[in-house]
Amino acid sequence: MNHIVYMSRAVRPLSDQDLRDLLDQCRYDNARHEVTGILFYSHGNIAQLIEGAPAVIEPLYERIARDGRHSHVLQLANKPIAHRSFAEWSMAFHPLESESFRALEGFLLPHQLPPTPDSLPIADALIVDLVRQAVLGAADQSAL
Amino acid sequence: MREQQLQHILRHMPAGIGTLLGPELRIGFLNEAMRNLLGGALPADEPLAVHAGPLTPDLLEVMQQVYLAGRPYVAKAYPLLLSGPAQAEPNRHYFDLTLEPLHDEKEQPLGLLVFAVDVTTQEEARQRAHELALETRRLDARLRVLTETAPLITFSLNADGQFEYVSPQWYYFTGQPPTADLNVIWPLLIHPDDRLRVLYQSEAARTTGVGWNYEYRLRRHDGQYCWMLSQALPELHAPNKPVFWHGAVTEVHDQRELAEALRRGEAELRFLADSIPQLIWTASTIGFIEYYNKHTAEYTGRSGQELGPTGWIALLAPAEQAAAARRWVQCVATGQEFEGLYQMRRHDGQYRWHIIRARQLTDSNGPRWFGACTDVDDQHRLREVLQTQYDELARTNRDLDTFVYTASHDLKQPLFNLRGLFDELRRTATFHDSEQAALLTMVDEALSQLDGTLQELAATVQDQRELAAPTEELDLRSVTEEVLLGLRAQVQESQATIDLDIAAAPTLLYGRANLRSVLHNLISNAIKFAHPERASHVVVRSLVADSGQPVLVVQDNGLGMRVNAETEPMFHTFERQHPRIAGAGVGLYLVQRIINSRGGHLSVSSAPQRGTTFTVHWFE
Ligand SMILES: Cc1cc2nc3c(=O)[nH]c(=O)nc-3n(C[C@H](O)[C@H](O)[C@H](O)COP(=O)(O)O)c2cc1C
Repeated sequence: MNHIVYMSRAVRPLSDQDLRDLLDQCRYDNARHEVTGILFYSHGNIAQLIEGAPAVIEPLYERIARDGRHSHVLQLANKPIAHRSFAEWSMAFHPLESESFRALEGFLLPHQLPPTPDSLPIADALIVDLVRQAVLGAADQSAL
Repeated sequence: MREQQLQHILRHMPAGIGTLLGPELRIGFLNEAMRNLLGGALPADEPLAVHAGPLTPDLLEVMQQVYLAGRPYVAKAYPLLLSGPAQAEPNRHYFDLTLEPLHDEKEQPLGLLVFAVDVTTQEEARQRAHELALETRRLDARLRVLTETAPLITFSLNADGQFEYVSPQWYYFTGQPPTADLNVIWPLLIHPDDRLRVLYQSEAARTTGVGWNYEYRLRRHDGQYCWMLSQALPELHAPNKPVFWHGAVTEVHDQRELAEALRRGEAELRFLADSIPQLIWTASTIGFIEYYNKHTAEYTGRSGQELGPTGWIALLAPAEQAAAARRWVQCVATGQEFEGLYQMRRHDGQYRWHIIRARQLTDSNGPRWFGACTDVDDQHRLREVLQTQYDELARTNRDLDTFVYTASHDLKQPLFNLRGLFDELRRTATFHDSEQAALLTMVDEALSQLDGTLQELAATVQDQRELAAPTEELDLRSVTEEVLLGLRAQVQESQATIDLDIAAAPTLLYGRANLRSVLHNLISNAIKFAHPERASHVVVRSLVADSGQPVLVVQDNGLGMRVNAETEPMFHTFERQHPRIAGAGVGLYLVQRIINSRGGHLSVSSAPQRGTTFTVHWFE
């Protein structure tokens, strides 16, 4: 079991529809390949953690890194982990129209985000806390 | 037959041929091409002017003139508008028209031979060429303006490396006269340190037929050398056969200096950071470590790669990690300085105390974090050792006090019993020898002394415990009176007079029990060491010293003592000045200890047989 954390910049701001498409696509694909994790998005800033078998997430990361929707992909961690810290794959962001997202599986408003799981090694938990703060801002963090 | 053949040839010639007869220029022979030109078969013998067709009045006029003058004329590329077959737009055609006068045998004018060759294609080509030439000239002019006004020097070199052209900017920049010999001067204006390299590089590029791109310093008109970027490309006429090199020289001095300064600054910083036996690091705006110095790797036993952007947190003692991580996230959010004392693991697994500090600074790359971890373990351990020793001493002291207190307490009972037994012995036994009676008195005295010592020991410990008591504003008079009440028996016995003079400083901020102890001991001492030949007189005075601090003076007219003037008098436990007088000497020791512990000192002046004065400086 490995996990990978990266940050990136959207090539252009993602619309509600873009985010919804991404959510649908990734939730479906990730569930199929037993990939779990979390993605943060705000104002063109992206950060994601993915967990899964190295044989799955290595090529997935390669695909994501080549995805034309974003650039400046910076890998922050890529290492073996003892066990998963996320039960499923979800996305946290501020849609313009939150109403239509409220009921969607795997979608979270930033203030609904649970705290970073304790099961992560401390250095990786710190990475997640820092990228979450960098993407979603400190205000949402303190609202937890 | 020949005539016929000729007619045939003329008729089908690809050029128009026609004859016009008489001064009216009546239509004569017209071959097919000429008929096409004029717009169809025209009736013979009619004057041409009537059926002019596409012919302009101008042309008709010239024909008349040629007829009259009898001299041939050729109109080159004469334009005629010919109506096309489908009655569409008339087409402009160009003809070379030859007008040749015809004469009879007597040299009389007969008419005109008109010969028309369609040169439309050639003419159009010529016109296009002309237009192209115009356009080229215009572009050329524009290029010239551009090359001569843009803020760069442009040049062309031929295959031998000789300058064919250089834009005027070169002259402005170098301040050289327009007559300067470029090929000689230019190399001389290159900085001596760069010259050989530049000459070699351009020569090498020319011999291999490629372009170049290099920087060098060129001397400006004011003598200053400026960094220039020279770029050139070959113009190839045949493959691999360059004929010219065209290029530009741009001033890049400022960029170069700036980049150089930045590089130097960063390099110097890195060098410093790498030479310091401290853990130094920098982090991005959002809190990820981007650089750890060399010492970090040596100290932690892990490379920057292994540590990663947040690996430092895992080096801290496990109990401190969560709080440190929270604090870091918070500092990154607010830009506040990070500072704390943490235990960090060394490569050998030992945790050592470190002060970790990081501060956000903004340089040309935006805000960045600069951090340092200082190993303060040795200091920290020293402090811990001192603290432990101090604690141990304090405990020992407490134990000793307790021991003394308990011992004095425990000894009281046997002493009490001893005195009871002794009294019983005195009551029942009879002594006949007077020396034996004296022995009795001595035993009695010794017993009293032992009793006194025990009491004082107990009091010492008691007061010691009260040293830490809170201070309060005390009325000196009422405390002194309280003390005197306790000393009533001794005062009466010795018939001492005690004078109180405290108007100058009637109150004192002190521990109540402490003040009582001090007064009790000093006054009882004064009475105890009274001179046998005169009544005891004790003065207790409270005043404010020159230093502004309160002072207590207790003066007597008693036995006095020898004071070693050189050394500050020290009153040790059980030190007795007058062995013949009861008391363990504990009293003064106790007074001194109380006063010292509250930040003051005790001084004494005395003259044997005259009296003693104790001065209590409550505070320094
Ligand atoms: C920011 C971002 C995150 C993505 N995350 C995932 C993901 O977690 N799982 C996934 O299957 N695809 C993810 N994708 C989509 C992949 O880049 C890619 O489009 C998808 O795997 C399909 O690839 P394919 O078209 O080559 O099959 C992400 C794309 C972007 C832009």
